[in-house]
Parts: sequence; structure tokens; C-alpha cells
Amino acid sequence: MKTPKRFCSAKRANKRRINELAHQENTRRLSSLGIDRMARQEKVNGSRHWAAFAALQVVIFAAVAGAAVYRGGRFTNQSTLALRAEPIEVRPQYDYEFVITDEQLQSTLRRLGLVDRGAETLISATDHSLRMWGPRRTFPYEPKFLSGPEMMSRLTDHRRFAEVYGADSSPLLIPEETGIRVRAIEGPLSSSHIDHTVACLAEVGTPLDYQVVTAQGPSTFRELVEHTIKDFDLNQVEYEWSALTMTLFLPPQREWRGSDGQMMSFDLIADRIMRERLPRGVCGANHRLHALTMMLRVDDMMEDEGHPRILSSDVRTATIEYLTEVTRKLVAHQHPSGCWNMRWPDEAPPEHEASSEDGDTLGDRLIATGHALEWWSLAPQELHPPRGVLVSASQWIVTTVEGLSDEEIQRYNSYLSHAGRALALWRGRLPGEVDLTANETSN
Amino acid sequence: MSSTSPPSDASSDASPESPEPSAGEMSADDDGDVFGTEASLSPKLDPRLALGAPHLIIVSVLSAVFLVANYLPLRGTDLWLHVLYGNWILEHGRLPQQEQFMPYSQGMEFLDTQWLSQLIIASVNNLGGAELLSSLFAFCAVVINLCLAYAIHQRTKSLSAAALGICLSLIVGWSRLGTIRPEVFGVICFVGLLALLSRFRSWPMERDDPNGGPALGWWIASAALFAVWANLHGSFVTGLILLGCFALGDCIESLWRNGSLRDVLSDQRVQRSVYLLEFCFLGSLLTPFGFDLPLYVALFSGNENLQEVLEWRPLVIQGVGGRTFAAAIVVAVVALRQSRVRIGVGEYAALIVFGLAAAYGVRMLSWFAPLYAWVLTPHIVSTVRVWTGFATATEPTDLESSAVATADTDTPTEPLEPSTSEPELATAGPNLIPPGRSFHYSLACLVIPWTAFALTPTATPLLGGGERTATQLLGEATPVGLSEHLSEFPVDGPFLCPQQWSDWLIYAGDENLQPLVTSNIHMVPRQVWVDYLAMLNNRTSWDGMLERYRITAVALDKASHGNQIRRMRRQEGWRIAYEDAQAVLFREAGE
Repeated sequence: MKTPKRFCSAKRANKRRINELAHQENTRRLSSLGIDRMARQEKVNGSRHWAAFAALQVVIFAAVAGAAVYRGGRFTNQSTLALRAEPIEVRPQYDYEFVITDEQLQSTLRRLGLVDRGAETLISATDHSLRMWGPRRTFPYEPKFLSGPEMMSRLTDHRRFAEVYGADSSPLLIPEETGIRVRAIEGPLSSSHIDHTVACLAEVGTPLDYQVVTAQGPSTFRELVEHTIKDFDLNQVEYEWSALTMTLFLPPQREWRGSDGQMMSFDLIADRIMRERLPRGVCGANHRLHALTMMLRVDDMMEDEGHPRILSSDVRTATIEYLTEVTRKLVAHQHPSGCWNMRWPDEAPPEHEASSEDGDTLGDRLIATGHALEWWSLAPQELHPPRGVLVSASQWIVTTVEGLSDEEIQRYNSYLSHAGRALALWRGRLPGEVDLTANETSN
Repeated sequence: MSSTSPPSDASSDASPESPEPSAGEMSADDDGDVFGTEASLSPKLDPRLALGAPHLIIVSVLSAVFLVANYLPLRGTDLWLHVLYGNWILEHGRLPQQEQFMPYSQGMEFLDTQWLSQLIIASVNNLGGAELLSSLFAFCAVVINLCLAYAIHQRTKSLSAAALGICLSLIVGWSRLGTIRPEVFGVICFVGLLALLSRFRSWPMERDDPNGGPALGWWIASAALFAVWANLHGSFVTGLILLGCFALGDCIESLWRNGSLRDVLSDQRVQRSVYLLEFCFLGSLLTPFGFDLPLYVALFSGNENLQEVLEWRPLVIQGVGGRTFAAAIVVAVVALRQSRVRIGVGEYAALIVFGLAAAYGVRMLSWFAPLYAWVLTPHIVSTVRVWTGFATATEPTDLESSAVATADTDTPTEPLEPSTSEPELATAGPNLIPPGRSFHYSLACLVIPWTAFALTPTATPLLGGGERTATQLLGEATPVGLSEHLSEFPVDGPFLCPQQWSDWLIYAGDENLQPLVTSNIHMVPRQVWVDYLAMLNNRTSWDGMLERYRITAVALDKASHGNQIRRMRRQEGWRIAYEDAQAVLFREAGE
């Protein structure tokens, strides 16, 4: 039933009147209660103190805010990274002619340059080749090979990257909150592994202030390194190159905060690297072994420089024991021809010739043998296998490379970059330091 | 809300015209006549011990809470992890510096914010086992509601309102009743703060008034409460937020009233609220962690891992506690609209902040429920009185109560029910029992708690009775059989099991067990947590995951991981090492 409109308005008028009366009554009662007098008295009393109160509040607020800022870093990953201006250079320490002769080294390395295929050139091949040859290497005898400066340019300058791969290609370098990320595992125009490109740049000595150009503008290599460190999670799937980057840039700093605010240390990273069973990990776990070897070397170098070691004695001992056991397995499972395949922790390659079986292809053998020779070449002598093992392994590589066509060498170029680097390291040099023109002259 | 029709009893016969002899005047002969049909009984007890219906309601509710809480199983919350940490502290005589039970949490920033609770829980457990723990938490539930009743009574001067308030709190927060963990100590402190605030905010403002301003003891008590609270549980931050709401409310009210910032800063009420907040904050720094603790707790709720845990998820109407929360909001809106009692800005702010917090995370219901009852009870009582026509001209109107509150309190100083408290007792004479009170009620107030106590397992050592079974005591979800197996055949290496089982399996199974994830979810590195969820939710390849974490044994719950169990049965290199109706344990074939 509808209420008559006139009745409603009368009701509202009544309500207003009641409210007015209530207000008058309440005002009268308030006066009788002395509330207004109390309020006035309160004002008088308080006025003497307002300035002191305000000043005290400013002081307290400043103290709390200051303490929050000062202590807050403990719970975030915003800790200061005391990065080295230049990465630690881990030099080869042996010159073993019995592993490979100068002539063999020259003739093998001369063929291992990366042919420039323009937009067809893989980023993963480029950073592998840069790692092998370094940023200054040129190949006057073979103009088709990508030079060091050109490889550096493609990896660190988006303008050059866009020229080679097209302006529409997704950029390789992506600025993010924690620094610059290198796009990885997203096709041929991205890095093949997480932090692989950054680690390669670190291994060839790229300083932090090296100019890097992204699609958004110029920056420095520091941004890439900081991203690697701040974004690192101990349990990420691929961790070997992140660990390597940190090993080359952080010491003598031994602890820092990773993502989640987790306090990182080289001890934790070494434990992580040794956690999974062999041969789990990229390239038959060999990058895990390489990263551990580099940590041992840097650990020694820190002591030589008068800094504390980066590994605790327990972890260092555990690392050496671990690598010793790896060496034992490698020695036990080497094929008489000198090679290993991807099943190296458990068995030797079954036949002299590589098969098409997963883990035993020629590529697998090149990976397993080249990588093993590489980390041994940098490892402390106590971790080396008997000389015969080294000799047969290096000679298997030399012979195999000799037998490969140029096309096959380009196909296996990334794998061979490790083998070629290993051969040079056994002669106390980096591949970029080997004189490749002498052979041409003598020819 | 008082009882208006006292039952017929001995006291009702007593009238001012025919005073009964006092206890001192009664002779031995009088005692002999007690059994005679003509004898008139007279109370020997102090009339102040005569209680009323509201007392009976409160006692009955508290007894029911004690009874129900006693029978709640010690289900798989993080209780057993706290026992483990408490024992660790007792054993080592210091606080742990890092997470102790998860293999992959090294380096995670760890503050043992609940160390005092853990010590209490572990000590109680060592003293009387799980049964005593159960009794402890039942006792805590009673203390919480008793404190809340006191706090509401302080505000309303009404026992009926207090009874209504604890019922409201229980209804709104029922879903948290079964939470048996250090959080209950935090809730005790929270209601303690409400009680303290009920007193604190009712002190007169005049400095010259000899009775004015809270005594130093009250300030110290406030800071001490926070010092204890901060060592018991990280929820002390909720107390600071509550005080912040009141300080803010006082500022706004003062600004509204006075119109200038200078006047606000001069306002003694504002100053007192702010000083109280600061004093309590200072108290909360009295922990082994100093200033790091508030920072740690403030950042804690932002932990990404917690977003995947039910109690940190937003409330869902159809979900746990959702319906009662929605109903509570409706009741609040109606009550605040209809109530003739003034509500302060601070109370509004607190209600909104804690309401939003509860809507954002189920867990916050623990604090919202008592606050809701504390704030809303006077308004609900007022609303009922308005609706039922009990509102009288003497009841304070909005304006008056506002003005009174401005000077003195947040809520009306006039009681919401006819008072039968001390002043009336004093004027009623030494032997007169006030209307509405009776020794019958007093007797019932003794019998009901005793009955409740007698029916609980707490009474078993005193009154005898059988022990509860493991299932009754620990709940059906606790994997008792599996823990027995693990105690006999320990697992060497990282271990995957549902997080709800981890704490118990370490506690009762193998103390060296290394579960991938325990209840310290915020201490789990993000990647580990993501992988753990992917494995238990069957979203990933198990081969790689198990190897990445070097898992050597996997325990799965038949009720919720059927697919994963089928998958593991097919997994090469794994064998079933144990199976019962609840759980399956797989071990690596070489183990």
C-alpha cells in the first residue's frame, strides 16, 4: 500500500522539529555538565605543550624511519654488491707439450672459427665462439669467420643486433627492475642457457663499465651482472653460468643476498652444484664441474691476494673430494680411443665409432671429451688424471677435428669451442693468444 | 539486559522491613532448624557472592568453550614445529639463528618471532604430552573470552552485554577456534589490550584532577603487555595498528572539533593516544631482535608463498568463515545505523581496517572477531533497546554521548542495563541481595564449570577415565602410522611429503627427517615452494624435480594425491616401503 505523499512530508517536518528540540535540550545539558568549560580548560593546559609534543613526534618519526631504512636491507635483496670493476682472470697454469704440440694446436684451432651466416648465425654459437676466441681476435686468413669485436658488438649492442637479425626481432637484452636480462631459451636469437652469455662475457674479461646498448638506450655491463646476481635462485634449473659469473665478479665478497632475500655464499653455491647426481646438468654435467673448478681456482687466488678464501675449509675439502671422484669415474670410463660420451659417470662408449644413440653421437662425444679436458686444464694438479688419459683425449680431439668437414665443424662449432679452448689452455695460452698465422706462412 | 524477574529463592524473601539475622547472629540452634519445615533459610555467605543471570550466561558460555576446545584435536597446523623449536631452544639454551628442519632454507633470513610461545608449548608438552597441550589451549580459549567479557563489561558496565559480546566473538571467529598454535597467545594479548583500552580511554582528561590521567602503572602495564606479546607472537603489530587507529581517530575528532592543527597538537586526548602508541611500540622492541622484529613482521605478510595458503587467502563467502563474516558486516551496518550510542572515529577506523584485513586474509578473523564484539556490542544492545522500546529518555542521545566521549570516554558512561554492581550493593545494606541476584545462580555458576571440567579429558588425571585414542587426540589427518614407520626406518636425505604432515613426522617420526617444506612456509625459498606445489599438484615431471632436490623418499596422502600415487607406482627406481589406509611411502630402490 502506498503512503500518501502529504503524510511523508509531515513526517519529515516532525522529525526536523524533534531534532531541533533535541539539539536545544542537549546544548542545555552540555552546559550544565560543564563540558564546554572542560574543553576550554583543556585547550589552555595543552597549548603550553603543543610545540614540544610536535617536536618530539618529528624526532620519533625520524628515528623510526631512519632505523627502518638502516635495518630494512637485511630483509630484502637490496644489499650492496661490491662487484669488482673487472672480472677475475683465471689464467691457464700448465704448458704440457705432451698433451698437444704447437703444430697440432695451430692446425686444429685455425679451423674452429665461426662462419658468419648473417641472420642465420645462432646467438648460442656466437657467445660460445666469443668465449673461445676473446673480444680482440681477428682472422685475417679467413674473412668469413666472425671476429671478436663483431661478436662483442652483436651480443652487447642492440643497434648491431637489429642490423644483423632485423629490427623486428625480439631484442636480446631486456632491461628489468633488477638490471638487464639476456633473453634465454627462447629460440635461435636468444642465449642457449640462463646467464650463459653473461658468463661468456665475464670469462673474456668484459669490465663492468663496458658500454651495453639495449633497445631502450645505452647502459653498462654492470646491469647484466647485477641482474644475474639479484635474480639468482639457488634452486633454479640452470645455475652453472650464474655461479661462474658470481665467482668472477664478487670475490673477495663472500656473502650477498639473492632473490627472496636469501643470504648467498660460495659455500651454498658449491653445495648446490654438487647436489644433483651425475651426469645431470647441461653438457653432461660438465659445466657444473667447470664452475666448481673455477671456484677452487678463485679460492686459491683470493688467498694469494691476502683475502679470506671464498670457500670454507669443509666445503673446499668436499669440492676436491667430489672432483676427485669425478676424475676417477672419467678415468674408469674412457674409451681406448680417448673419448667419453654423455654416459661417462656410468660407462665407457661402447664402440670406437660414435652411434646415433642419444648420448653417444659424435656431438655427444665432442661435448663430453672437450669439456672434460677443459675443466681439467684449469683444475689444481691434484685433480688431474694420469697423463695417458689426457694425451689420448687430446689426440682423439685432434684426430676427430682433422676428419671433420668444414660444414661439420660449423655444425659442432659450439661443442668444439670447448675442445679448442681446452687444447690451448693445456699449452698455457688462451685460444685468442695462439698465433694462427704461422702455419699459413709456412704453408 | 538484566534479568527482570529474579527467581523465587531465599533472598527474595528477604525484605528491608524484616531483616534477617546476620551470619554472626545465627546460633547453633538456628542451624538445627534448617531442616524444619517452618524454618526460613537465610544466607550465610556475603551477599556480594550472589550472582545473576548474566553471570550464569557468561559462565555457561565459558564452560562450553572449555568443553568444546578440550575435544578439538591437535590437528596438523604448525603446532608440532613449535614444539620442535621450543625443544631446540631448551636444548641449546639460545635462540636458533636459522631454519632448522628444511634442507634448502639455508641463508633465508630467520627471526624466531614466537620463541616464548614455543618455550611454553614445548615445556607443557614435555610435562604432560599432547593431552596437556590440548588442555592448555582449552584454557587459553577460556582466558580469551574471559578477557573479552571483562573488556566489554568495562565499556558497557553490563554483564549481559559482556555475555552477548563473547557470543558474538565466538560466532564471528568460530572458524579460528580450532587453531591451536602460538596465535592463541597473540589473541590473548589482543583482548588484553582491548581490556586495557577500555580502562585507559575512560580516564578523565584533566591534569589537575587528582584522579585524572592514567597512573604510571597503566603506562607500564601497556608497554609490558607489548613486550610480552612481541616475544610470544608476531601479531603484536595488530595491537599497534589498533592503537594507531585510535590515535588517528582522536586526531580527526580533535581537528573536527577545534579546526586547527595547533589545537589538535594541544589536545591532551590526542597526545595521550599518540604517547600510548609510542610507549607500546617501545615495549614491543624489548625482544632479542630489537628493531628488526617489527620490520620482519611487517614484511612477513608480503611473502609470496603465503598467498597460496588458505588462511592467508581472501575470505570467500562460501568458504571458511565467509558466511559469518558477511552476516557480521550486515549486523554491524544495521546496528551502527540504529544505535543511539556514539561511535568514535577510532573505533570506526579499527573496525574498517580489521574488517578489510579479515576480508583480505582468513587468518585475520582471529583479531577481527574480538574487536568486532568489543566495538559492536554496545551498539547492538542499543539497537535492540530501540527496537524493543526499552530506550528511555535517560539513555544518552548521540549528541550528548558524543560530548561526554569528547571529554572522557568513547562510549556512554551510563550503563546499558540497570546496574547491580558495587554502589548498589553498598546501599542495599550488608545482608541484602540485590534484585536479580540469587545464590541459585551462584550455585549454578559453580556446578556448570565443574560439570564441564569433569566431562573434559583435562579432568582425567584427577577424576579418572580412559585416555583418548591417537585419532581422537590428534585428528584423523595426522599420519600416526607413517610416523611410527619412519621412527623405525628413518629416511636418509631430503624427503617429500605434504607440508601438513612434515612437522608431525619430524616430531613423532624421525628427528633427522629433512622434509622439503615444513609449516615455516615463509622460510621456503620461492623456487622450492613453487616446485613443491607443482609436484604435489601433479603439474610437472617428477623425474627432474625429484632429482633436482635429491629426494630420496616420498610420502603421499591417499585422500588427496591419488594421481601422484599412481604416477609414483609407475616411476622407475622407486618402491613402496610403507602403506596404510592413509598414506603411502615410496623410497628409492637403492635406499
